[in-house]
Parts: sequence; structure tokens; C-alpha cells
Amino acid sequence: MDKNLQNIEDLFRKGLESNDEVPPEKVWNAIDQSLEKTTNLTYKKKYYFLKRATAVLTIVVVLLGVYIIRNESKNHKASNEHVITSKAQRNLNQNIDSATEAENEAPAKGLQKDIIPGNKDVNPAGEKEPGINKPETKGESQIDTSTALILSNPAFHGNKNSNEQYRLFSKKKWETISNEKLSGNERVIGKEPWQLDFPLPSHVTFEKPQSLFSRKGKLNFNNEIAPFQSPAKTFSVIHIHTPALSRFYATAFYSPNISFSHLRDEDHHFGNPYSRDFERKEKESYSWSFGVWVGYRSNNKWSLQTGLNLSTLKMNLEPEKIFAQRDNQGKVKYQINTSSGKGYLLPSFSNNPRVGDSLFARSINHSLQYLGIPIAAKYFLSNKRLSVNLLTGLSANILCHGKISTEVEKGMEHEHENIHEINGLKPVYFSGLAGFGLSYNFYRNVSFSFSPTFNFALDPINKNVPVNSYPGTINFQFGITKDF
Amino acid sequence: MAFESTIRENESLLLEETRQLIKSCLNEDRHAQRMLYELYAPRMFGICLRYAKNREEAEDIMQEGFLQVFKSLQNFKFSGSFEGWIRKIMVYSAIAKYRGKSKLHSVLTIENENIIAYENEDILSRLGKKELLQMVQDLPPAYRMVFNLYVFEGLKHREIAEQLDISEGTSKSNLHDAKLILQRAVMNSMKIANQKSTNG
Repeated sequence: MDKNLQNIEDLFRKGLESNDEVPPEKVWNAIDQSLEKTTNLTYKKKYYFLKRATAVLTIVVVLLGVYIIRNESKNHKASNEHVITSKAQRNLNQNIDSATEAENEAPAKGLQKDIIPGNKDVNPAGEKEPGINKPETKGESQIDTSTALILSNPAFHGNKNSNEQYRLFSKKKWETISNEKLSGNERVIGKEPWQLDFPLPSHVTFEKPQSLFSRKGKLNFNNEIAPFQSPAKTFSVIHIHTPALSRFYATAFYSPNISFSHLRDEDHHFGNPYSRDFERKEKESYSWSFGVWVGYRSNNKWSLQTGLNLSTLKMNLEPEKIFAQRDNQGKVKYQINTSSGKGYLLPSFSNNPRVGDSLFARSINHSLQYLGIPIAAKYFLSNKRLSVNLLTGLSANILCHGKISTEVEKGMEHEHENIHEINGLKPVYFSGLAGFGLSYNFYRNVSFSFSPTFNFALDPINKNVPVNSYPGTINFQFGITKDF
Repeated sequence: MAFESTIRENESLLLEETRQLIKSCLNEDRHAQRMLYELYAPRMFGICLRYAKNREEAEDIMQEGFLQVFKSLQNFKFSGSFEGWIRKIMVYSAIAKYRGKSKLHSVLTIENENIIAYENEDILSRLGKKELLQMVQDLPPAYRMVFNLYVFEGLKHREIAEQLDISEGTSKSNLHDAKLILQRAVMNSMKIANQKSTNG
């Protein structure tokens, strides 16, 4: 009995050990589908980090924007209200008294030595001040608003009839100006112990002078003035500092993109069956762009920019059976369809097909390359080194290259094919741009910028094809900007 | 000597090809995944058929198994046989399927019968692989599982007990009963075959 049972083991081992059998095609199809789902899930996971990073950056940019806007409005309010604190008022009175004393004592050094309060034009020695022009009464000359230090003579503050005047350090020389000369672009800066102790002209904004003063309280912006000490009792000092607006700038950027396509049947009266089919079998892949923006700032809020960029759109199609059909020249070739257009191929192992012959095309990749010429308006808000901006514009996109690559097989034969001509693609399509950005000025005129931008096709990239494709991308532009 | 060296060369070539294929599969190259599948599918389907009660179940096991293969490819260290590694996954896939249904499995009471001894060669010459496979597939699931693990995978009763979450005694008893059932099935088939040949 045991021997018989041992025989049974051997019998089945011998009989079934090498029982190879080809499984039906549906097994692979099911595996293929599951793998596709897994791949999509992997892509989702990959993009999950990118999405989170984008969300965080968006929040940071929005918060910074709010902070900058609040700061701006605070400063504006301060200047409009002409706040004179009681302390400032006290200083004003003291200064007026001191000014009279100073007139007699003729201060020994520094600016106090050079400027006599209560007297518009004459220094204590009765000479013309070195480097200081006579007051301009006609109000014709323009103030250089790039960098200036302004001294106000408090002797005039109480005098309603007096045309209030300021001593201005501009273009490396002193001049006396009236408040009418202030253009409104100036930013007036004050710091302890130099309190702002008189009303400012309504069009001049007040700002703390962190950028002008070192921690020790010395002026930073000009070595000639660096030793300048507090004018103490004689003069109130305010500083005008309006950084020169760099009109031109250039930005070089690289951008990883998330791409997508809106598809629509050219003849969509019967629904969109072709589009739906492509939406099912076509998956966007990683794409990128890089380029240059050049811009012109019309003022400190708006700029207009244009440039050049090279971008790619990549898509993968599910493997499928392709059939031989006549091409535009009437030759019979295997036709491969994508959402952008169709391509023809003729593999060496089947170079004389009849209409209807088929091949299996695997790993179909489809890529388009465009040269973009954008034009965009940019609105920006700046605060010291940081600025946030909003951008909107248009772009003309010129087709540079379109390629379909695939691997075709029939039986044991297979061959890699590259198709460089995609029928149906238009040479140019237009897209809209909308986005926002954040820029950080890390060195002199050089800034680092990050700008998520939405680029969406306004017209289809193809025509005379069953499916019109409207591609779009979300660009994450990382750039370096240089002001000129 | 020359023949052995040719075999070794072919083996190393195959190993290199498999290695390349695995690397491509790790990059989620669907073409490579398909090639790998086609390379091992017939052998693995044969195994799955033995563990399943029918083709549909075998297809399910196969599908689950290959998905697990692609998912776990990065864990394959190229230190042993790749085919052995895939085979193990298929068997685990079959065990998982069995464990999922284990509550539904019935166990039969087998009575001993008088056995007529046949030579294995004689049986194999008369019965096809298909019939033998059908006999295995017709075994109750618990018996089929133990029989397969013991006879084809070479597992010991202790290991089978661990895998199937049963006692060692149950494993032994199931194997014994499985063999009795198969023996009876073989005898019946042989009888029919004999009758056919006599009538023919």
C-alpha cells in the first residue's frame, strides 16, 4: 500500500512537473490594467509632493503679499496724517530756540558748522556753503530722487508765510529746495534720535530708515556722509531715499511642468467619442521648459516683459494595434494616431503592407517642442528684498519639432521607429498666461524668483484631424533676475 | 567538455538577458514587463493550474502572482534562480488564495479499497497530463494544497503546517488522503482506458 502511494507521488511528479501551458491573453490584459493603475498611483504620489510644495509656496507668497500691502498702506497713512507727536512738537520748539543760539555760537563742526538755521542761504561765516547751491526760487530744477538726505530748517516751521524749505543732499551736493519740488516719488526716512519733527508735504511718504543706518546709527549709503553725526539741537533731520528704479531686467529660468490636454472632437456634433478614447489611452508625461524674460518697469508697480522659451510636451499612449492605410501621397503605410495628429511608419520587416494589415505598437511616446514668444504685464509689490507679483499675458508658440517614437512588432520581429512628421499639427498656436511669483533680492541687482504660471492654449495645436488638442501646462519657473 | 562550456555560455547569456529585462521592468517599461511575463508565463501557469480547482482560478492566481512579482522585483538580489523566485511567489499567491477561502473547504472521509498495482510508465503511457492535472484539480482544496506543497515544492510537513496554519498531523493526514483519492482516480481512469482498448 505504502509503495503504491509512493508510486502515486512519483507518478504525479513525473507527469506534471513540466506541465507548461500558455495562459490566455486575458491574463496579461488584466495584469497590464492593474500595472497601469499602479503606475498612475505612483505618478500621483510623485506629484503629491509637488502639489504640497506648491500649496505651501502659494500660502507663503499670499502671506507676504498681504504683509507688503499692509506695510505700504501703513506708511501711506502715516504720511497723510502728518503726525506730529508731542515729543516732536517739543523738539520743534527746542530747535527753534537752539537755532537762535546756534546763530550766535556758530557750531564748530559737521553740518552744524555749514548751515545757519533761520537763514536760508548763508553759513555762519557769511560765506556761501561749499557744495550747496543757492535756493531755487523759481522751482524749475528737478530733484535727483535717486538718493538724498534732506535737512529741514525748523526756523520756518512756525512761519505760515514762509515757503518751507529743505536742505537736500543730492548728486553729492547740497541744495535748498522748497517742498513743492518734491516730486512725490521720494520716500522720507527718519530714525531715532532724529525724529521727524515737522509735517511732511502730503505727497511724501514716511518710512523707517533701516536700510540707511548701520546698527551703530551711522549712515550707510554714502561714505561722505558716514561721519555725519546727529545735528542735535540745531536741525531736525530727515532723509529722503528713493532708490533708483532699475528700468530693465532680464530673467533666465528653468521650469519643470505638469502638462495636461483638453481634447475635443473636431466634429463634436456626435459627442466626443474620439476625444474620450484618447483621454483614456493617452497619459501626459514629465515635461519642461527654459528660457529668458526681458522686462521694462514703467514704474515701481508695473512692468512689461517679453522673451523666448523652449518647451516640451510629452505624452505616452497605451500599446495598441495599428493598421496600414494610405498616407497623403497615396502610399500604404502603417498609421499611428495621437491626439496631436497622425504619423506613418514602414518597418523593415513589413515594408510592403496592404491596406488593413496590422502591427502591434508598444510604448508609444509622443513629444512636441515649441519655441514660445510671450508678452506679459506684471504687477508687483516690493518690500525691501522681497517682492511678489502677478502676471498675465499671451504667448505665440512656434512648433519646432514633433516626434512619435514606438516599438512595433509582428510575431518574432520587432523594430524601434521614430516618426518626425506628425500630420495635422499647426505651425503656431497661441496660449494665455496667468500666474504669480515671488522674488528675493539676494545680491545687489540680482534676485532669485519662483513663479508658478498657468499656460493654457487659446486655440488648438492641430487642424483637419478628428481630435483638436488644447494643451496646457502648470510651469514652476525657477529663475535668476538681473536688473540693469 | 565543449558541450558543457556551450551550456554554461548560454546560461550566462540568459542570465544577462534576464538581468537586463529585470532592470527595464524596474523602470516600469511595459514592453519589458510583457517580455518577462511571456518568458515565464507557460511554466508558471502550469504550476498555478495544479493549485487551482479550474482554469479560472488558476488565471486569478497567476494574475495576482505576476502583479506581486512586478511589485517585488526590487527585492530580487540576483543571488539565486530568478525562476525559483517567481515560482515561490506563485505558490504564495496560491496559498493566499486558499487561505482566503479556507473556511469553505471540506474534508472527505476516505475509505481504503483494494488497490491494483500499475507501473508508472504504464499509467503515463495511457493517461495524458491533462487527465492527471484534472485529478489533482478535483482534490478537495486542503488536500490539493498539501499534496502540491509536499510533492512538488518539497516542503516538510512542519513547513506546510506553518504555511497553511494547520497542525503537522493534519498535514500528514491530508497528504495521505490526497494520495488515496488520486490512487483511486488513477485506477478508475486505467480501468476505463483498459476497457476502451479491449473494446477497440
